Amino acid sequence: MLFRFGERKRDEFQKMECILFGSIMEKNLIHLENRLAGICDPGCTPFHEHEMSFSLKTSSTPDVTLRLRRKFNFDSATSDKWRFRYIGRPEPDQDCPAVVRKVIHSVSQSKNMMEFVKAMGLRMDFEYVVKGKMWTCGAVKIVMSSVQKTKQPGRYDADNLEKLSASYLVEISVTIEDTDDHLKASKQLKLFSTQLSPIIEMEKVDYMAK
Amino acid sequence: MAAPSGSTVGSNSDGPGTSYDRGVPLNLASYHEWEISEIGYDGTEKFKIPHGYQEHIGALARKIDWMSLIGEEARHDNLVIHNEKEKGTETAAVDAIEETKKKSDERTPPEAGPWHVVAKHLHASLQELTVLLDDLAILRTTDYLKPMRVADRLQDANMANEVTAMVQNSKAFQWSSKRKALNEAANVFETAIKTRNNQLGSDDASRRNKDRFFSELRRMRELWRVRKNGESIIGDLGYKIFGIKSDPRGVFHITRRSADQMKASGKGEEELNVLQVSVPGDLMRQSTLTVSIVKDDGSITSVFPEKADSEYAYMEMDKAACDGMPWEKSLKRAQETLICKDIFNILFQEAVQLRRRLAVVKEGVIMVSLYDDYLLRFELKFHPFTMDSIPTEGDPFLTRFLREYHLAMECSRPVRPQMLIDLPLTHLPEALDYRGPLAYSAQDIEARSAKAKGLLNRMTKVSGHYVLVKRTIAVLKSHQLHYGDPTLRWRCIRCSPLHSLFLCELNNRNYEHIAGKLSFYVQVDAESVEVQTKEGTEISCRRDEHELRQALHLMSATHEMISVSQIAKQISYQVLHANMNAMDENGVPCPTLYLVNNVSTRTVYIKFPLGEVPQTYVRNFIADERMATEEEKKFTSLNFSRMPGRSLCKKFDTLFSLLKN
Repeated sequence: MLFRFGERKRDEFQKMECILFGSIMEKNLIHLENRLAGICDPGCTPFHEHEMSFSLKTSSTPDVTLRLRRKFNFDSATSDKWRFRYIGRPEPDQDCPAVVRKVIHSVSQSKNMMEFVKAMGLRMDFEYVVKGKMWTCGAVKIVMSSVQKTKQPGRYDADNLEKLSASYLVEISVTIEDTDDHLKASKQLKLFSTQLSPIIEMEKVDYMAK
Repeated sequence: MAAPSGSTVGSNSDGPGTSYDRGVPLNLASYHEWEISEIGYDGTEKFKIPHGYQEHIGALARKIDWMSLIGEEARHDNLVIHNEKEKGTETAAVDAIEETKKKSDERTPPEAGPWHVVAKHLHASLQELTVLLDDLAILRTTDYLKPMRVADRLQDANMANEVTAMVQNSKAFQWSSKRKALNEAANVFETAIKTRNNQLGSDDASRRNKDRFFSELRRMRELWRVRKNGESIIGDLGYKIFGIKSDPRGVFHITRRSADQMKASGKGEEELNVLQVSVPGDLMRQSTLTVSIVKDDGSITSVFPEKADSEYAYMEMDKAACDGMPWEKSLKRAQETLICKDIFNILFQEAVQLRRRLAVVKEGVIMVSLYDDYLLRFELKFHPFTMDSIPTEGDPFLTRFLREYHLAMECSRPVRPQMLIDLPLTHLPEALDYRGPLAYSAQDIEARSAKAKGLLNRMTKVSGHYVLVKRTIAVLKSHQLHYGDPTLRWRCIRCSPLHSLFLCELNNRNYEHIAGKLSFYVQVDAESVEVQTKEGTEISCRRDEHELRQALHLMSATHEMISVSQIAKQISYQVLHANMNAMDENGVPCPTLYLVNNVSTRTVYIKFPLGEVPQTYVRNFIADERMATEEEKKFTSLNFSRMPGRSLCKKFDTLFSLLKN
């Protein structure tokens, strides 16, 4: 059966994401890991991924930003697997304790993704490599990652990667349906994040203003 | 003439070469020094003696230009006033005086020019430097003179720090400082112990009581989730490991039984736990959740029997007795009740939504129709919260399977991360991670996604399969017992909660080399039993024991026929026909075999009815049926039981040997 484009409803692929940000020094990471091991589901998932941010620059409308991501130490099985992600602007809700934004994900497979992206008119703004661990607690996802930037774009050997800072970025997020109540989910997320204090303080960062 | 200039005190020497410091070194120098007018070659200094008062006045007077002040024709005394008086005005005189003063203030520059001050300072500096050089030369030659700096505060502090560092680096200082620190720490600990003892009380019993409390609390932490909430300690009876773990329904409070309370209980210290738990009221009972299969005989009492009053005894809770129970047992019982209630709630919710089966719920009992007249019964029973053990009821296998399946579902991760961690968590299987790139349609995704298996559906299937397996085994055992020839051997080659496969073999003892053996399978699933031959024939027996028996008989008859034909061939008989699909007059399968000996004198006709001994008929061979008489066409029936031989094969072997020629 052919896939008929255009007939899918938006809520089938568009989700809302509630997210909180925090950072922790590397020397204190062990305390956070021990706390997460106690309150989260058993086991954590290590990851090492490479993300690139592309933007479609237009003169009349604001730039559209797309993020591409793939596994960093990829083998032949995963080398052509990419993830497209569009992140919308945060909802302007001052009462909401978490950042709420629309997200759209798409998994694609291509051996020449860069040519395709270039043909689409997208131009790379920046790229970075993230490495860390992920925990889950039900639907809540806790990602702890160290960000490395490339000194020269396109070169990913160890000499060309340098850490952005000595801290680890911690993100706690939950993905809900587009039509669900984001305030309730955000409050539950904030309540969950209080279990991690005082090791780390998760907060709603207005990164658009910064 | 030498005059005292800066003199150095504070250093005393006993002679050349020896010097020692006495006190703080000081450098005293007068603020005002006589100016040196000349220094001779032998080092003697000639000082300029400062002027006295008269001389100073004289020097100043000589500097005044009197002629410009008074004029050439002016007189010496009050000249201006005298002149003004001659003029006759006082104001003019005053003005004249002021003017004179102004003029006297305007000094004329000295003859040396504007740089005379600079020259003067340079000369003075040169003189100071030469004095300094002379001092240094004298200091170098004399041993008893030591130069001391006029140290400023910063230099003093640095020196003091250096001295302090030297002292601190010494071992003696370190040891003494460590000893001091340890003594201080020991004092603090002693104070703390004294305070703690005061709080604990000087009573040994109360101290032991607290020690036991903490040791029991440590033991409890190894088995249960315990946390402190403010001033109270609470525990968690929950058993879930995924998702949010703290469930308010399973929270219990932990307290300490004081020494007075223990004395008041009348029990010894060793009999009673110091740690006391208070479980929620609705969990303060013993529970059992049993599964059984009952046959519906049409009466309601067999399905929902009347409950006696004793079965409601759990409602009369004796809190004191409950609190007196050891916490190890009370927590286990309370958690067991929590698990049973959770399972029953899940079963109840699914029973309400059942579509293909009937379900009835009444007072803690759920009845679900299985098949035919059989019902699957779940019963949640409560018993008083005592130390007494409760009787086990229901089917042990099904009861245990229900419990294990529920806990297995709780231990399985409901959502999982996808191939990249920032993708949303999903409940789909891993094979569907690339459903986009592989262009799966919605139907494909639906077909490949793991279906949620309800607990009740699973239990009905497992129970149905369990019943059918028991029936199959009973039938096979019965067949083995009652029908020894051919011999039936069976074993289970695959057994799962929903499917089982038995391998059955029929063989004739001592004739395996001739007749071989016949193998077939009996497959049991949740709904039916099926016999599968090696040729691929499937005989569905549904859930009927009689049909399974008939199928076994059919296989036995088939094997008998094959065995007999093989034996006949060994003795050079000819098989005229062998019909496995023959039926008797009632339509029941009855394989037949028609043989003739090698000299074509005798024919043997054998029928193999199901579940009975073979029927053997013999007659002379008729070449042409049209020419034979009725007497010749008649078969002679042989009594199988009187045929020589113990086994079927032996009997027919003997018969064929007899009729060979």
